[in-house]
Amino acid sequence: MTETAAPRAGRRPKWLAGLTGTLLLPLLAVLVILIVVPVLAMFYGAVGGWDRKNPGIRFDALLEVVADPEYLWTYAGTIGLSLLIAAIAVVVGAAFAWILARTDVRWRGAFELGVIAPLFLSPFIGAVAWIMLAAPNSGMINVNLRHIFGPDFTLLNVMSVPGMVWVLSIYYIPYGYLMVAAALRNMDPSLEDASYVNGHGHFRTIMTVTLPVIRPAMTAAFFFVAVLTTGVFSVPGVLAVNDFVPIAVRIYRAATVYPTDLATASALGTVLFVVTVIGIFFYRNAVKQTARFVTVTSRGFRPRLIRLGKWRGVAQTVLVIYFVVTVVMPYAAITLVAFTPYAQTDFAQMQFSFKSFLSVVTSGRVATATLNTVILGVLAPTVSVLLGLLIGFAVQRRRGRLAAVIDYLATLPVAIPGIVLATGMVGLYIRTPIYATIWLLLVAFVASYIPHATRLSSNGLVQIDKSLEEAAYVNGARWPKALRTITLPLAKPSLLSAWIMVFIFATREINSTIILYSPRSTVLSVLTWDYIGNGGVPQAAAVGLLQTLILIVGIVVARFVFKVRLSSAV
Amino acid sequence: MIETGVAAIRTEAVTDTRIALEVKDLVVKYGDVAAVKGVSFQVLDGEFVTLLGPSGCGKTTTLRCIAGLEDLTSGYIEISGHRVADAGKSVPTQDRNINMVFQSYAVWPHMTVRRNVAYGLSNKGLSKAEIRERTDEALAMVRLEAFAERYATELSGGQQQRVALARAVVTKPDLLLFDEPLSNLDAGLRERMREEIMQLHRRIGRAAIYVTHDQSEAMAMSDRVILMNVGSIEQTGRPRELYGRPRTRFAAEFIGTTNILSGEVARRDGRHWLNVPGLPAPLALAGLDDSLGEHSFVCRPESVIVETAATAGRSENAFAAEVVSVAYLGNACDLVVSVGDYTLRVSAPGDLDVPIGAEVTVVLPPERLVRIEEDR
Repeated sequence: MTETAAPRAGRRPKWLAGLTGTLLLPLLAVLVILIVVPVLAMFYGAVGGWDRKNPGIRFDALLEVVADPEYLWTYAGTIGLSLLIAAIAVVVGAAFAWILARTDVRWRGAFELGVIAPLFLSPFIGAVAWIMLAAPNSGMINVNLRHIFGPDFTLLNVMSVPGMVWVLSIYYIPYGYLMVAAALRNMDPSLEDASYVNGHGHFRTIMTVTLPVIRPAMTAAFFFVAVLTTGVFSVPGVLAVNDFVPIAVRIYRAATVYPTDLATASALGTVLFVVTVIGIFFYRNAVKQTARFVTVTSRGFRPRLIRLGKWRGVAQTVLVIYFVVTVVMPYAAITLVAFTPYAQTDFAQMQFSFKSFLSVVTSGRVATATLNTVILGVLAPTVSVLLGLLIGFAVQRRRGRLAAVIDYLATLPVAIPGIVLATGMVGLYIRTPIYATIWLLLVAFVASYIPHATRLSSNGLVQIDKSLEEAAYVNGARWPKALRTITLPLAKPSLLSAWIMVFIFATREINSTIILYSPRSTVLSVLTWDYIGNGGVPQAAAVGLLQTLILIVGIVVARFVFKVRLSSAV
Repeated sequence: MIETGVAAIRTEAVTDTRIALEVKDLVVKYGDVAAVKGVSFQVLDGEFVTLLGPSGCGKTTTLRCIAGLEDLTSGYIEISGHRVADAGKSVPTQDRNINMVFQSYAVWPHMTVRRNVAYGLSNKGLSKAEIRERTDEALAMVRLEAFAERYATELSGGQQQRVALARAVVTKPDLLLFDEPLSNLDAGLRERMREEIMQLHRRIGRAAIYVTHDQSEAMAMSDRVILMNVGSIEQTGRPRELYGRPRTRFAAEFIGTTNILSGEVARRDGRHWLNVPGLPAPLALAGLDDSLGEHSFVCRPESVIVETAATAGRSENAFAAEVVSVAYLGNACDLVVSVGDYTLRVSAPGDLDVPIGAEVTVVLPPERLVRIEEDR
């Protein structure tokens, strides 16, 4: 039997055969370029590597950011702020989750959508809206209450540390809610029933059974939210509190305010990266714990719902008020301001006109930004989800060391805040043709959103029986054909969920864009930022409203045309 | 004339039987754990061979190695004389010209029955008309012509399995692999599908390898059974050989129910006797086997004869026994009886009617006591 007698020339060394050679190695290369190289470039920048005027490695920027007491206060404040917001998000989210999963409140579906609605909106635009509502001097609430309480009255000041906590909490409570709600859903209801039949009441059951079972999920949610908020630039940036500037805002200032200092920005980015990596370490530990409590047995029957009695009305009222305060009021405010010709927040003097809104949204800058936003909003999720599908496919179908490395790299960007990634990319791409184009933004977005796209596509792939793909192979298909004709159609619902989620992220993105944009590659978030910075509040409102409308159109299309279940799109 | 005719047929048969599959010294390790520990066998063209064994015996792993869905650690696999896998190299599944029926059917839910069946043909560069013709032919074979445009999810389990069968035979593979295809079906349907698979195999005439843990399925369907246990082959043979002459204790116990009698073989009065501790008297053995010493013998329950009081006392190896339990099955009556300290399983004809506690005589005919060669 000679080699040439083989039926087809398909014989290859095993290490190059099948998925390894044609999929795993190329994926590894893509992930290294997208994720590892920018992080290394940031480290390089932190030691002055990109400074062409003073070539050579130096450590002054790094030493400054780790030794200067002012910076140390920044770090303590940033970490404290994110831990506080994480605690609020988990406690409030868990309370909502328990009410909606275990009590007899009405309109469950609508309330759930109300609680998670901020997830589909932009925290940055939310902060802008809260400035319009509760800025100390011109905020709509303060101005109009002065009619009653006198000209010196100021009820709320959102441009403060509590203001930051308030706005960020609104946008991170949904994460706490969803992670705890999932734990409650996956919990075997008979665990609680067993407590009831052993003579415990509701309170003892919650304290001794429910809470211990969902505690790992709460811990995981806590660190997840803490990591995300540590890197948020937009909300603290726009609320501009003088006596407290978080790390992300300092990076922004170092990288963009004249005289720019990429070395300091990179050094601060390195510190922020270290902080988030530590957070991710705790998060991963917590996730491992949650696996211990997963009970997939005896699903299918509903847990016993606690009758709230007279408290039912109270719970429902709280949920309605929560929705009105966190969603209706800010977007009502931004809509009102968008249609006033100049920044008028006094209801007694308000005049409305479409003229100002139309003049803003038809201006050349806005048109360019809208086009860029839409292009990125379509391309970023498409590319991310395709990559996520390939990664999920490779990792799940070909276990082994290489697949494990790919899996790890694909989750790494969770620990890389957008502004950190962007800082690394500046030095790396500045002399390439894609610098200052939207393609650079696309690269940044795809790198940032790979973990989300991969996680959601993998969830879909797990549910596809492996033998469905093996049946394609024994019928003569190669992996690309098996993926295209079998896996892709079967994973479609999960892929659509992933797509819509990344669409939302990409459409509202500001954390990396703010470092990487140019006048040509501007997007709506950046325009809003500019307008707010220059005092153009009505223009900021108009652009923010336009961006919100794009988000809503995308979500409505996803929900009603593609039938995406929104609560699973996270 | 007649003799030369037979000889002619014989030579023809020999030259015609190609080796469809050769598995040699197959070893599959996951880390330090060996799932398959050096398995070798051949399958001839047209043969229906079953890999039989309990779960974890390595039968499915062996099958998946043949399909190229799993990598082997050492040894080699040849299909139709071509090396498809050894320690260094591996021909991808799609290039092995095999097809497979999966335990879970693996019928694609997003495709119609026709598209499911035609899938493998679309990789072969055939014309549309040819694909349609061969698909129709395969669908007719499994009597699913009327369901061609239905989606697979609209079909019953048995129909889905027939879709999977049609899809596997339509590509005319060199080797047809079956991975416990009937284990998800309920009992009645399983027997009908058994028949259908055998008919299909006879029509196609290619080699088939069938994995199952169900010994009755293996007995009923196979030309040859390869019995596996903890990663190795225990015994290979026609179903009759496996049942009638189990070589190992495992083979005896896994295939059918059995009584195993162990003791010292001694020679007395010109014949061999088996001294089983606990039995009131030694058992007379039929053969003049020279190997004396410790041995075990198999006696199938249906070989044990139950005699009533009228006929008792005249047979060899007859013992007084007490009925411990009775299971009336219609065509047979299964008893458990105690003889001295020994418990025997007996499968008597259905017309035997004895109550629990009754005294009967059981006879273990010497020619029905089969020595286990490798008593481990």
